[in-house]
Amino acid sequence: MKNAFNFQRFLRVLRLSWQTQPVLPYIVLVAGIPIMYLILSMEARSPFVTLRSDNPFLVFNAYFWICGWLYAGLIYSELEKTGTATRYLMIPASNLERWLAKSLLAVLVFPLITWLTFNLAFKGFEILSLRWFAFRYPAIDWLSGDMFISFFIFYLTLPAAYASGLTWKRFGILKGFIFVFVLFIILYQFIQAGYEQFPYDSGWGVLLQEVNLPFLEKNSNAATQTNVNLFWLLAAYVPSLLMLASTYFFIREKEI
Amino acid sequence: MIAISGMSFRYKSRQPVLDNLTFNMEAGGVYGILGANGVGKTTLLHLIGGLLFPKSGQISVDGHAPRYRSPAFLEQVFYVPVDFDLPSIKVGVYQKRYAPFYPKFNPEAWSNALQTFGIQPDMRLQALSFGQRKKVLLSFALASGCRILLFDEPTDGLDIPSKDSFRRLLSAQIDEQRLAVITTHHVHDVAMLLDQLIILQEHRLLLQASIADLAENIRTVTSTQLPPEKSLLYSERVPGGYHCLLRNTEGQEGPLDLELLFKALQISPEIVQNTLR
Repeated sequence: MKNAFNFQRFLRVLRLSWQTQPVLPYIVLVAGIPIMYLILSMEARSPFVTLRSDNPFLVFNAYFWICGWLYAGLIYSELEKTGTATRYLMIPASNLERWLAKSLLAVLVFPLITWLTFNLAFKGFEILSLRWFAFRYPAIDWLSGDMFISFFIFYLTLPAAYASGLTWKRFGILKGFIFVFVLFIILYQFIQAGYEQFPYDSGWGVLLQEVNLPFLEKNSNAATQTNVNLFWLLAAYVPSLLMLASTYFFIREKEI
Repeated sequence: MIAISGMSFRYKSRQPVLDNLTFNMEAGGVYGILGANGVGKTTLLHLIGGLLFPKSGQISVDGHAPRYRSPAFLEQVFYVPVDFDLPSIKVGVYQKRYAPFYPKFNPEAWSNALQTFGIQPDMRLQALSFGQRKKVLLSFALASGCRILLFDEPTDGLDIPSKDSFRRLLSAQIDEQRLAVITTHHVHDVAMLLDQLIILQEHRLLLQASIADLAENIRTVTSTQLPPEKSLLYSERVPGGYHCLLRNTEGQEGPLDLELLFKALQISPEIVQNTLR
């Protein structure tokens, strides 16, 4: 299609998408701050418990994932009602520009806002807590391997929430979560059944041993592990990206 | 400007809503679409606006296929739906937010329309009544500079003076380059505006005619006695006599009651159509 992308128009669509973005994730973002404070300070207050250094990491993950999924699942909420959907679809912009603007907000902008909010809140907790008790958590290592895995899985699952919000009109994220959960159970059962069915030294047995789900125990050497990671990259990330890309076609074919 | 050829549409697993429609709409006029509930009037507007896609046949709007919703197409089409939604912001902010998408948006026309309707730019949309919000949307449509304006029940929710204001504002906006399409059940509200009439029945096109042609061939009279059967097309009893639709054999252009014409077409379409031929 001619004139599918115009940078000026894209900026206008991006600004409009920002102005009309869902409010609920921001409410959760703010409401999460005192909850995080309570969770973290409960342990910090106790003189009998040694502070677990991975607590901020776990709290951050929960905060980051919940807010991120919620935002991605709600970003197309204006397509739920005929009135708002009509307004959105009649804006003079291409489908590509609409999709890019929403995707940019869900994939980059909002996660960045969540990350910044968490860091600011954490600084605030430290300042607040110094008066009464020492908030002695070590700083989160944002470049650690665990953090990399966390972001990896977050971005692996984000398109599912994004697509769910677009696919199902009501309770899209919940339905998407159930769908992915059921799919995961089926996959898990399939691999478990494979373990029992195939002898370890058979071709299928070796394959299932090596190419297992990431959380299952692995006894492979580094080279095999690299291949397994590559497999997961293809088996999980490519479909995930395809799911993200498919939302463009969903918008293009959207009728009210 | 709008060319529809053999177009059909149906929702999933249902009977056709529109069946094999073929007609054209030209710039420089106001088209009224009439029809009973569920006959497909709103669906037709959605198809013209690219919000629904035809199941078969072709539709071309100013050279564009609406289903692709290209920016060039959307910059030329503004749709005022009956079931509309406006964000909870101030009227002036609404204009600042959405007007940049319309290259020919006319701020003066916007201010003029708002003033005519008695709406202030600092009013919050959420605090306005349905009718007032409709006035905001109508003002925006009229100022958008779009060449094709689609209105679904535009006078719904408007008070009597506002209906008159809408008629005046729309008349002032329509020129040789622009086209307005209005679907309505309140035909008296917009009868003075219409240049062309399209009537749908049982999901098909029953009649397309210019108001001038209709007035040349048909006229409406109210009398105490029924006129001779030869010229009578349709009549209904009203207090004090009969409201009648007659063949205009004398060539006098008189008032034409579109609601009466619509009723006549519902009951005996052939008689009216033969008269027009």
